[in-house]
Amino acid sequence: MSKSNAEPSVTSFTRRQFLQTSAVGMGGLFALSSVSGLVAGCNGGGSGVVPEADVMVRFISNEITEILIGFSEMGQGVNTALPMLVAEELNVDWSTVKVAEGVGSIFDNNVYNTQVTAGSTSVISSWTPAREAGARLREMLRQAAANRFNVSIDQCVAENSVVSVTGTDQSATYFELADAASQLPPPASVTLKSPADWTLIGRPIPRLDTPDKVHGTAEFGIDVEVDGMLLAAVMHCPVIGGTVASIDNTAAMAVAGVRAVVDTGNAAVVVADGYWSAQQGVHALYMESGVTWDYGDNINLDSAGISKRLHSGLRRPGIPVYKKGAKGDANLTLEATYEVPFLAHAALETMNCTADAQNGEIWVPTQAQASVRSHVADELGLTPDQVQVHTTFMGGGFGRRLNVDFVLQAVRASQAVGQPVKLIWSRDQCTRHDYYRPAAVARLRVGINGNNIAWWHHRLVAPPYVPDWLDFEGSSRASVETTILENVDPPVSGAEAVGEDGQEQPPQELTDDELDALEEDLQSIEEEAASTPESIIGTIKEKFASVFIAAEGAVEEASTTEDAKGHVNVIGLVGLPYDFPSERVIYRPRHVNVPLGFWRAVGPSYNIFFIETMMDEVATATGQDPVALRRGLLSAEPDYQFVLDSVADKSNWGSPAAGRSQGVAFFRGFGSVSAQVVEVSVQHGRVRVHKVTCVADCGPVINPDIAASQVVGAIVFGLTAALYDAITMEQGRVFEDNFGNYRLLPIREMPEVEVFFVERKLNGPSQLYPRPGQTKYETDVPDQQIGGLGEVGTPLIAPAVANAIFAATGTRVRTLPIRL
Amino acid sequence: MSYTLNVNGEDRTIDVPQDNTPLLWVLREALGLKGTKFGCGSGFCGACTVHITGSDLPNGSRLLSCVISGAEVSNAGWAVTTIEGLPDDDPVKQAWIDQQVPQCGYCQPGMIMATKSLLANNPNPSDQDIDTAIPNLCRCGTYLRIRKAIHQAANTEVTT
Repeated sequence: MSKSNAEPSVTSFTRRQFLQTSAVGMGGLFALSSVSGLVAGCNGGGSGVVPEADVMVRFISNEITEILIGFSEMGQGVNTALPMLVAEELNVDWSTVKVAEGVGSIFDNNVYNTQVTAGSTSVISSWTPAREAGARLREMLRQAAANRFNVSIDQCVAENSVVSVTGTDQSATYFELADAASQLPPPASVTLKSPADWTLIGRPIPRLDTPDKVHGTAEFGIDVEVDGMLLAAVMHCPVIGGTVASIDNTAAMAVAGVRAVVDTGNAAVVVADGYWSAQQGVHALYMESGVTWDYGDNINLDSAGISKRLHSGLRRPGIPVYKKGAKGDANLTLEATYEVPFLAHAALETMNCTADAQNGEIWVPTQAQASVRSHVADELGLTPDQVQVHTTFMGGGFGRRLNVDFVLQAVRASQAVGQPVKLIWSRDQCTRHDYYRPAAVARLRVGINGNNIAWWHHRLVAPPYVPDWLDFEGSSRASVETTILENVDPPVSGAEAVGEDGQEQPPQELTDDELDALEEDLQSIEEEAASTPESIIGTIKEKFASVFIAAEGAVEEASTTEDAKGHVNVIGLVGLPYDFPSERVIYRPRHVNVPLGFWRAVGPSYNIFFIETMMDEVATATGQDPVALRRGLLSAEPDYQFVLDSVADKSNWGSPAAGRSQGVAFFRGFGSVSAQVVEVSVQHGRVRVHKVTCVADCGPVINPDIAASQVVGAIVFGLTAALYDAITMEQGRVFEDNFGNYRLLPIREMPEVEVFFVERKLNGPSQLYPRPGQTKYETDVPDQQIGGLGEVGTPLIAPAVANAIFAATGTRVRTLPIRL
Repeated sequence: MSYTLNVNGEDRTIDVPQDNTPLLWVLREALGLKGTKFGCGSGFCGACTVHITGSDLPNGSRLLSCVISGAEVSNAGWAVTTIEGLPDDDPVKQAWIDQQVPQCGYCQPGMIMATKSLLANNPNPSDQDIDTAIPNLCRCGTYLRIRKAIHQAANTEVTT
């Protein structure tokens, strides 16, 4: 991380600056471009194409090879996994590899075409391009050696950061060759190693960031220090969405150390010499009512009203999302209604940002550098390339750090006082002013003939939201959101009027049959949606295509209806892996005035709870084993069946430990397939989760140690929500404030977790990693797709636990958090 | 106000504008010891855990530095040890590295300090002892590795 006025160790690279840098010469610096597929050497060699890079490589010495990446390290291990991909093909000595943050607009996520870390896409985005780039760079180094020693490139062997000439004692290190290599054109094509030749990929290599994190020296956003920096604390309007009407700063300014009170729109920010003084200033403002708030429209907002409003959406026509097959006859219909609450992200490091508005420089734990650049540029009247964003380590992201609200507060405070400001939120501000995982309600109906599912009908009601970290090409989040909200939740008729307080009169509700008939006619729905301005909705759809592809795969994206493509909430609902003869998915957006955002696993965090719990209800109603039922519906997908069979085998499915019951769930999403079996016991209404067995097929596993951590962590994240948490509101205020009433799972409730990954084999059936004594993940199948792993563990745990609770007690859990 | 505080073996002069400035912010801002983290400010999460020693204190005493002022610690005559005060080759730190415990890493200094405190009183803790003695919260869910690392460190400390 760069600090204060010291010369930054990392130069910011915009595309223009990269070329300028090239002109003055920085031998040994290489931008590994994944979009153009070319390596650009910095000394004017290379492709001449202005690069967009996932990674850059700098040979600093024989001892240090610096790999610069543009993704955010928030615990998921990308700072180790991505360098491993480059190093695998580069044949660099791994002990020389240091990772550094890539600063600048040339670093793009290839899935979203913007610099962002989200949606389990870092590895998906980089898997092939990063390896190809490493291979190209290796070839350039070999060619440089060939030129130096006047031999053919075929005689040059690149191993362990040295190129040696076969049959001679001639050799040169990568560092020695780097200058010359950077002036060479990259090879047009390279052949990647076959998996059997991998020396890094598949090995549980220690993370590069572990020692710093253990010694307390890793620099998180909250640790940033800049010369002349002041500290700031924040008090938002207690009512969600409210704003500052006026500030009387007398009480705050009387606190020793306080320099200023700044109105940042949605909050009063107290700037002081130290954080505690700032926080005491906030306290003084609060005690003396120093801020007059404009509470806005949400003063009567409460959880009961929101729930009622969402439930009423079940009786209103929605957007047809997915349609398959004619609805056949059934001799039994199962119906169930499910509900999940708003959730906070609760990253342990509170929101913070250090801004130097005068110099357009930002130090921030962010998942969305491109969004920070463009929002700060708008705020300061600069172009995005004039804003330099330094990404720090972050104490958890989980989607919260895709938002830029805290960044803009820091920028405004810095601007107001004319000095750099580090702004830190308190825990209660984090809990009460999050961009929450939306609450959602679903009604599932399943037609059954004998043992078979004849049709599957899924109706989802949830408040819509937009990803403000995508580039909306000039449209602000507010304008996009307003447009989408105004157009997707139209009244059924003029007779319906919805008050801002959630009170609705008169409820004009339709029956299931009436809704089915209406929604079957796609044309009429499309006409209704046609009032949405094409320009904005078109942009959203286009941008969202990539979201869907990341989460669902291209096939599912293509089969999603046009009207549904703009909606985050339907992720996980489209094209279920199960072979149902007939399927209908309907989404009814229902506007509630609560800030919403991306939360680990996004749509699947609730949609899979609904689906996999209903699958268990079907198994019970038809007297089938829950694994056998799912297995039968996956007969076209032997790879999926392997995952399910494996989890049943590894968990001793059907034979839980004494006093315990089991539950299963299955999920395809984020490019991966996974299944979990849990063992629970229930005593006096208290649920204890003893054991979780998970099998995941994400294609090749780069680092199985980090991968297992990701799956375990995602399970804990989902389990915490399933067992404990909800964000509730009264009179527009969020009730929960800290970990006393918004709980995190403690070590004493941590279940045993076993994680297995699928290894594909060219000759023979797939196997599970790890097997006893196995030190490396082994696959020999080339050209495999790779899937994401950061989120796949989260959606399964709630339904698996709910299903196990049914097995234990006969009670169906249809509402989260679980309350028996 | 100005007072003297012994931190990591050195007497330091502390001059902060607020008498009630929590030890956490004294460590982080007055002394630049930023390995001690702010997570909740209310004593729930343990990210701010430090050690204290004093003639009136049992071995392995620890404090949540967010809920006590530096001045109180100074008045009590207690000496403070932070994550920076543990040597790099401390067996608990080494166990954390060997077991590859951290994900985001934010809670881990507090976890390590809590573990040192546990092992000072109980050199070979059972899983149940760990459950009781480690109230610290980890949002990334690294608990299984924390447990392994504690057992490894216990074995190392017993055998060395």
